[in-house]
Amino acid sequence: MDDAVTATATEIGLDPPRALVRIRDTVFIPTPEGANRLLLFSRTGAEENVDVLAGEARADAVLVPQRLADLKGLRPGDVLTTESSDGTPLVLPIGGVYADLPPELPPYWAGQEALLTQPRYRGLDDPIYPTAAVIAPRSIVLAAADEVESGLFLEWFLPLADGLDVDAARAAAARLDRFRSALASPGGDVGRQAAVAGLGPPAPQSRLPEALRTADRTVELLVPPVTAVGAGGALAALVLVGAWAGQRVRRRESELRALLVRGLSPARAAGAALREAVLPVLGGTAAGSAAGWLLVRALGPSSSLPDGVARWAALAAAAGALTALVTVAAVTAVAVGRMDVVGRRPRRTVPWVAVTAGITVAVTALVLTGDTDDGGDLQLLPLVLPLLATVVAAGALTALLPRLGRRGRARLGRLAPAPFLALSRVAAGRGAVRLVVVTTALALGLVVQAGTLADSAARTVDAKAAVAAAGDVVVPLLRRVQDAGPSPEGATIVERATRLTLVPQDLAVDVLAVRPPDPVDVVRWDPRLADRPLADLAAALEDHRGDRVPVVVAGSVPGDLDGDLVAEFARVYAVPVEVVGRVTAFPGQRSDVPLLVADQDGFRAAIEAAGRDPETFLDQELWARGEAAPVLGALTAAGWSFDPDQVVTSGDFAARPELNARTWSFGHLRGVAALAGLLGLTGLALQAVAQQRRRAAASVLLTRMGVGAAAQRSAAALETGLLAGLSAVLAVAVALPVSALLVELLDPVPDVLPGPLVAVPWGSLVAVVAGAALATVAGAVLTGRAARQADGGRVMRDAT
Amino acid sequence: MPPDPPAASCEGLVRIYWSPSGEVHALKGVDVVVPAGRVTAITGPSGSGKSSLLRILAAQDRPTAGRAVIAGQSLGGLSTRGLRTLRRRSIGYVFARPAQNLSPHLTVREHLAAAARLRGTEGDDAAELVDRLGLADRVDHRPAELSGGEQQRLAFAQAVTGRPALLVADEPTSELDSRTTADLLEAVRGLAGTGTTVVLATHDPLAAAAADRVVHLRSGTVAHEEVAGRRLAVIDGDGRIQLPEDALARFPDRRALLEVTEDGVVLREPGR
Repeated sequence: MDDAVTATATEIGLDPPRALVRIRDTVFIPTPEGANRLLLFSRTGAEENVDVLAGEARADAVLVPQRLADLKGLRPGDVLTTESSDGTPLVLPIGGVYADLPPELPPYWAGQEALLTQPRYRGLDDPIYPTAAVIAPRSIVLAAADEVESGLFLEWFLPLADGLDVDAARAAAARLDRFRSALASPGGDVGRQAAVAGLGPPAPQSRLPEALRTADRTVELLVPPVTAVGAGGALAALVLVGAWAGQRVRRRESELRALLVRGLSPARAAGAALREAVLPVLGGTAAGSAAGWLLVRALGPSSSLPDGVARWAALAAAAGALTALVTVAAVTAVAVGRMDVVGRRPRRTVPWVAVTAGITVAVTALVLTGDTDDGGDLQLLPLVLPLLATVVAAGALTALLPRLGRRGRARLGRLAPAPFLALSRVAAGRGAVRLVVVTTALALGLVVQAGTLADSAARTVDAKAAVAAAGDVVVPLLRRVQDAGPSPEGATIVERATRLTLVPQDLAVDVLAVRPPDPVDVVRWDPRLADRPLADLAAALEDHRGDRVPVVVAGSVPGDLDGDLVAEFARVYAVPVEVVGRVTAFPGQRSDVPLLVADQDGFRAAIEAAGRDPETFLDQELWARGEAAPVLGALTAAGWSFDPDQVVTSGDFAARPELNARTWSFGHLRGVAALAGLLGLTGLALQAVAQQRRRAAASVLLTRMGVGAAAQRSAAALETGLLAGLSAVLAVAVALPVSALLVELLDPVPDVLPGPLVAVPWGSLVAVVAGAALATVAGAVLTGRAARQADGGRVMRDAT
Repeated sequence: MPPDPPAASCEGLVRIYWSPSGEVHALKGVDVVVPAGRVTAITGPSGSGKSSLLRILAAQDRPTAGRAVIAGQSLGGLSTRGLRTLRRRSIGYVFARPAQNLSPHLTVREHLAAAARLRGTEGDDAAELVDRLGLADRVDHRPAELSGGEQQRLAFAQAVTGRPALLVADEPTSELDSRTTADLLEAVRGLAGTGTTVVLATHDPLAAAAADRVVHLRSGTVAHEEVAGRRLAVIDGDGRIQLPEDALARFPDRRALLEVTEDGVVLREPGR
């Protein structure tokens, strides 16, 4: 059948499988340190994937592990003699000795931990029944099985190529489906041979479909937020492009007016602007596309782009470039057209702060009262809310600046020239100040927002992970095994009861029965879950004296929990409880249903006192620290029964598609925010230079009036610093609290407690402050250079 | 032989601006005729309406009321696009400050080429213009390399490229010294000699003296005109006459005795 399976796999296009043949019955071999379990097996290529220390792999002999060889004093050419449980002797010629494999198995041996890893048990320094994996040619394994009359365990492992991308994985999954069908077909070679042997056909198992489902779900969850962030980023980019185009018109106002009086049309002016913008836009698009491609490859979600993505990305980039060009042309045409308005009443300026404030209120109402059944998905509206609020605050504050400046004029007059000039210019609150403060605060606000959302999400995920996966490994135990061995070292066994009712509150609760000191060393406790350490809670459970079972209440429970409380299970049993502590959530709490964490002995005793058997009503699970494989190996060896598919590790929770999607989304948002912050601060520094050039004549006059160059440079630097500082303060003061409010709405896994937790993004705040300082320094350097380069005579001639 | 039609004519021009403090009546029924091929100067104190009239003559603005015909087209019936086309084809304009008229990155030659392109001509007259305006040896220089007078001459050269029907200049000599002003005015006279109609708004007596006709504005109305050294009062289509200030001062009651004689029309004070 082995050959038939291999042939079937090859016909379908799969690589030849690695076939494992192992004697099913356990054979013990005595050693000076006690009995060892002999695992005699053959696996395709096994001999080439161990380090043979002595002798060689032969077709008529086995390879024994170095540990067994040392214990038994075996060498190549010796014979390993043992016997089965019924006394049948088994003689195996030794061809060589191989080095014991490290605990971290090489890729070839993946999935074979049960053969090669030694389990350790609680309370014992040395392994008991250690395994001795003896590698043999298939013929020897088959012969040995015949001799000891043992069945055989057959397994075919179909390795996938390294670095498989999603498309290749889908193709592999499709081939596996065909392989499964071919094996199950009664008319196939494998099916016929299995029928002859009285066996069912082999049933391939693969985690590939599940992995693909996870990938698809992740992508499905990732698309809306990334689209939202991308749309927001594109919108912000277009606003910047439009602002640049508007600034270009303002910068060339004199020239354009001269052309307008000679009949220049807005369309012609727009055409000229468009021609000028082509190269920068193409360059920016190419640079942005390359940067995006490299970042996605370097930071994920995937190092290789699936088929068709590059085409769509190129189309999107081309559409973006085209939109940018159209924006430049449209803004220029409108701005020039407004200059050319003749014989009409002047248009009233749009009160954009009031308009934006109105939009902000509307968006806030929509966000707060909107549908919250979207699983905390990241939508566009919540994302723009902190930005809108920042813009409104910045606009309102800069509108107030002139008034504040007038009130403080007398005090300003007493200052030295540099601070006087800087403060006067900022307090004037003219258009340039407003533009700079609003756009810089917007850019920095995005940085703060991205940091707040990302850091809060990370903190929330950590806390939820600590609750969802109580330990590093959680193993639901299927049945009681009376003669099972001890549980693995560093583990605790807890018991659960669900769907109880807490009276008199008539509140549905679950119960988690623990041995109080054990969880302290096992669970991943997040200190933010309670106002006191876990050890204190455990002590409260352990040290309680009284008739009632002490419990810690986890989760949201309405009202007080005073009086005589009883946990009832459908009139079957009732346990009087007393609350000794309350926490936001407790490790192992699977849902938002309140959980009573009870002292295990007391709870079991209460059930027994009700005349019931606790074993009937309590489900057991094992919580352990460390890697899953050794724990599961130890459990198997000790005779515990569990379903491997039900095993939960802390990594499983973090790998949930919702969390992966959220992590990538916020990573994307952070990338966009970093770019926006960089652009905002660069714009601030360049605006400082432009201001210096505009003030060239004023600067010459100030010099002639006795204000020194150093004082003027200090004034320019101080002005830039004030604008940067004002923007940073606005960004932090507005975007941080508004983003914190949003965190409450963005719970990626609402069914796992605790709810969203807010984290102050210290890293982002430091970046904002450092960026503002850097922009100030850069602005000071650039304005100083521009001032030195100005020719006073020419400046005054052009100014008159 | 019938006289040439005027390059521009205005009749009963009214221009009202709106400001936060209320309406501003800049022109209050102005009648002006700009004869073709002549230099016309518009003078008057600040706030008299010079700039408003000039903007209308340059087709940059429409009158609130009244009739303005520029280069044969009535402004009242023109859209913004029509005004723009009129400016492009038929009007040249020169700002007061030389730097306002020029692009710092273009040479003299490039300025004239760009102006011709905008007007839709081939720029065949560029060489003649740079000769006439004394810029022949400066064609490859940028504005920063030209003197103030040269810059303003370049501004005139690019404004008359393509032979527009009307050249409008706003205080073109205000930032020039007397020698440079004289050179510029000589160049302007030369342009008029080739048939170009020139309108100057000016405070400069030199510029006014160089004009064939001087229109003096006061408080949004035409105070008087000077033609060939003679001062003329202006009579509008309804028979209203605008007296010069010194004549007006003789009629404090704003009433006059009118006598029509064979020699003309005589106004007397009622008490005499």
